[in-house]
Amino acid sequence: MINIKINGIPLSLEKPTNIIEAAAKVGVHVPHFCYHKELSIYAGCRICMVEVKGKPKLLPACATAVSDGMEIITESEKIAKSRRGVLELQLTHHPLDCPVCDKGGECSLQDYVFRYGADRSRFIEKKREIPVNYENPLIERNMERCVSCKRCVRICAEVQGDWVLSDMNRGSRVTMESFCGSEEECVHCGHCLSNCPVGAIQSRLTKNQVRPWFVEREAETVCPYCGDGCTLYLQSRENTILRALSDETYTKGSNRGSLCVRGRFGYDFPNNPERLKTPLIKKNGSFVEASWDEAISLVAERFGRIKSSAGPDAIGAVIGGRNTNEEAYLLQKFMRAAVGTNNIDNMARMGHINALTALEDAFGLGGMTNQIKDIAQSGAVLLIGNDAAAENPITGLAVKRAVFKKGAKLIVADAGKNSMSKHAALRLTYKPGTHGRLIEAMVNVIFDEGLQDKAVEEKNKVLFGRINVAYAHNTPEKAQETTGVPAEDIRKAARSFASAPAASIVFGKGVTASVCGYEDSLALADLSLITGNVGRSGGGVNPMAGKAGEQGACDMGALPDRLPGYRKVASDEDRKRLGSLWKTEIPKTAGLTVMEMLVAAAEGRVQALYVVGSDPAFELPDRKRTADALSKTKFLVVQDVFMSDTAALADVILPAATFAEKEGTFTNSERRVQRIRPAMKVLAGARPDGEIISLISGKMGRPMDWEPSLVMDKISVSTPIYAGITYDLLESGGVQWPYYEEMKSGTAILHSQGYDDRRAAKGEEIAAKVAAARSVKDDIKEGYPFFADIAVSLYHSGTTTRKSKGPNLVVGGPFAALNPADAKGLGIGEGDTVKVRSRSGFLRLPAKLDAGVPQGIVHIPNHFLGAGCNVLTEVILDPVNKVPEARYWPVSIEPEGR
Amino acid sequence: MKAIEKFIKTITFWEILKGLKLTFSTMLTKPVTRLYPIERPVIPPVFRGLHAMRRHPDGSEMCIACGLCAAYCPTGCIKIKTSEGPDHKKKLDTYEIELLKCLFCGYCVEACPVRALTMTQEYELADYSKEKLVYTREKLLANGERYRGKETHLD
Repeated sequence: MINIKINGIPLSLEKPTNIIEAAAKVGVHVPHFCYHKELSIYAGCRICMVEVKGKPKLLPACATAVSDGMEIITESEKIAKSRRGVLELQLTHHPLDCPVCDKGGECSLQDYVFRYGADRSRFIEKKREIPVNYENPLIERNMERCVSCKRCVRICAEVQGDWVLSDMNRGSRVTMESFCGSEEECVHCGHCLSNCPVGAIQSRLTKNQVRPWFVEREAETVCPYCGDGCTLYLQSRENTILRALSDETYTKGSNRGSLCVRGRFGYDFPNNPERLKTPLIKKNGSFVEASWDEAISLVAERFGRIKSSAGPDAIGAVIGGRNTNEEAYLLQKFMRAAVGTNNIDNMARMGHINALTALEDAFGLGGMTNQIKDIAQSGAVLLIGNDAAAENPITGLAVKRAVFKKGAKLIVADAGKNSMSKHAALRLTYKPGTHGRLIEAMVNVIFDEGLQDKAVEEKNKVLFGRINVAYAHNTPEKAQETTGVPAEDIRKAARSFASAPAASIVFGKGVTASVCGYEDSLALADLSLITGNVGRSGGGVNPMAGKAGEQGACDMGALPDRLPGYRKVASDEDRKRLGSLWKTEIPKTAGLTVMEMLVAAAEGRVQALYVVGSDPAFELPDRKRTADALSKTKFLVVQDVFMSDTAALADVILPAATFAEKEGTFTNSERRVQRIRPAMKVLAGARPDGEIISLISGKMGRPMDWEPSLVMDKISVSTPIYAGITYDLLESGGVQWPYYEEMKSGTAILHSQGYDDRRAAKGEEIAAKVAAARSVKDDIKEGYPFFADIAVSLYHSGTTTRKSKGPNLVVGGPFAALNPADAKGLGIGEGDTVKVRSRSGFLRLPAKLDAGVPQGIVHIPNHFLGAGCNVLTEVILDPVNKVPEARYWPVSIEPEGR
Repeated sequence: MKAIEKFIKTITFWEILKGLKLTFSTMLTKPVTRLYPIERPVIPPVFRGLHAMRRHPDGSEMCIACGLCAAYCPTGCIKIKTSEGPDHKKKLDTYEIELLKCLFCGYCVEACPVRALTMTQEYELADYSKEKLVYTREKLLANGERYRGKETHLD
């Protein structure tokens, strides 16, 4: 125990820390520029000097650790004089343009100068004249204002791991510049600008538009893009979002102060003038504006008519990844209770569902086993089929932290481009679709070399025996043939994974969105299990959700075969329990998945579709078939914020509200239930999704409360894993389900008390079906030597980022990235037009040369209207969850010149 | 004695005579009231009347769109919108003072770092609608023009 006194206030500390942190604990702020708790100590700004009793000189508070009996004084005449001196030196060069500097009002230098009264410098020197750098489309650097604290340089290197910035020149001429003058490596995360204590690095999107006192409303909310669920602050004025900020305390949520380019710069789509503002009804082939009453009555009436003529199973609903838990719950309740069918699905069907069901079968609960920040504790990370730095950037930061701070060995296994490769100890590039063989070979090596966790094996002898037998046939040599990864590399990977004290697996759509997604997710669970990493801090199996609402929609039972909380439709008991709560009978037969609904729609078995917050015509494979099925649907209702490919085919379009306008909760991939709060009023004419669903339901004779907090109360009753979760509980921060009321805490790490293997003896049957599906895929390879990597780009997420200004300034259109060697072979240069052709269609795209793309792969971000990759794909379904193969597709490339 | 005094004062209406003494004596002095609006007062230069935005002698606007006036305003009656203009300079888009909320305290003028905002001797501000009492940049600049060269609050 360390007992110290700060300005006479006694404080006892468990662990030694520096004086700045200790003082913050008793509410004393020690001025500082260069100190940041996430960064290494630099002690270069010299403004945090404090007096320590018994020491003749002032000491820097950031670089001095507290020790027992220390008496610290943070403010005195001596200290003020010293700080005044430092400020005067800063003001020798710092321009006095505070009135037009965007940082004015929230600038540390301004505050300290105001506090210590050093409002002008006695040093007369010519001020530096450095032109403002506008190279970056989102971030400007005005080095005249720099105080040389180097926080931007350090955060770019130590947290983001990109080393874009560096300090150039010496002494008073030091400036922070991009390394070698190139910003190619910059991922526009904006860490540098959120960390700049002065106005030297700022956002160009808000340039000259925002002053802190313009802010009328600030909301702590959750980023609506990927499954990381980052805490975000939105500031608005007169119903317009001014800017998005990260948490300055670096404590909240899963991201703890970090954001990526989508979160920090992709906030303005709620104010886009192209938002849908009034319900539209298609009459004679064109849309006519209608009143809400008219539209809702029409939907309810048509649903009612189809229900009575063709039965409730002729109606289906799909919910996307942008909707809140409450909305997903209301929609599935509407379908099950008001319509009377289980035809409800969500867009996690595009991959994530495979991981959830596999983990449920392997361990008993379908969800990421650990939490995102916990990955930073790993000794080894296997990142497979997920470009964490682009798809889930904050998870990527946790992986990087493990590498930088813990010295973890990062094994990047991916068929396509992976921006995490540069941090990897080992890069395994397998042939698309063969990741399963790679994982199996790793398990094989672990058993072969006796690297499995002996203590866990002792307890689970039968299970270990079964796993050993199951993977025995796949030796690394055999795997080398199928995957193309050298056997020695597989051995090395298996050894580093098994020998680490805690090793975690992070995977994504590269694994799950394939015909063998379920099977391979199980293999990953096995790999974690035999190395004893399940239930261990820094270990675990961590599937990454692609969209903010995917995990939540699955939790809420927006699935055809599951009720809220993953209860099974097939179980009489579960159905009865929920039925008695809802005072209705829940239909017995499992519904259709979204892929099956489209088939049924084309055949006329499904006559009405209700599409909420998603764009199947763009997202689902086989564009022609999907569009055909949607246009054959007798009555298509689309509820979205913008016009989309699907909405264009709709009979009724209902304009919905965005995340910035409504209350609700999102559950991120780490099972954290977090609240979103409105930063602006609902756009005139639009309505929150929950309200729309309840209006239709009410018209159909089943009124439902849509007030999000009331819905959450109902969820906590009907969904066992959400039991006890209320808005009051979530007020101060998110909670990871399952929540235990008696302990008043969520669960950070699942299965630490053991797990429940529920794999039925269906293994072989599934394997045969998977093999059959795979052979279908092999057939279409003939004559198509390349694989299209239908990827998620760092800058985009789909419908909403397309309408945000920031991301489009960096990546504004589609492209096809090729390995330079491949390009040379085909005679393709940077910027040439290439025709990417598959068996079913083609895309014309500008080529881009990128050495990060493996040979034989063409990387195409699938976000841009008119360049949807579903032109190329066909429908091949995974036999377990009916997940379509949608990540890699055989294509050929034809150069078309400039 | 007291009773007699009181009796005399009562029958002679003494109190009324006392009052009328002031009335009649004032009849002979100059009036202090003014026949407004025919007669106008002399307004001192430091009077805090209607705001004005000033221009440089070359005609360009003095305002640098810093928004400090809005930050200081105790009632929040100043609304200012800015954006990035050509050459990355700060550009003033709209400037509004809602006079109905204004206290005429003059803090905005104190806050202005470039003396672009000042107050004038204008005091006849009544109007027929609320909208007309939202003074925009154009109106304020016009008021500034009226006072060009004259002494105002700032000088």
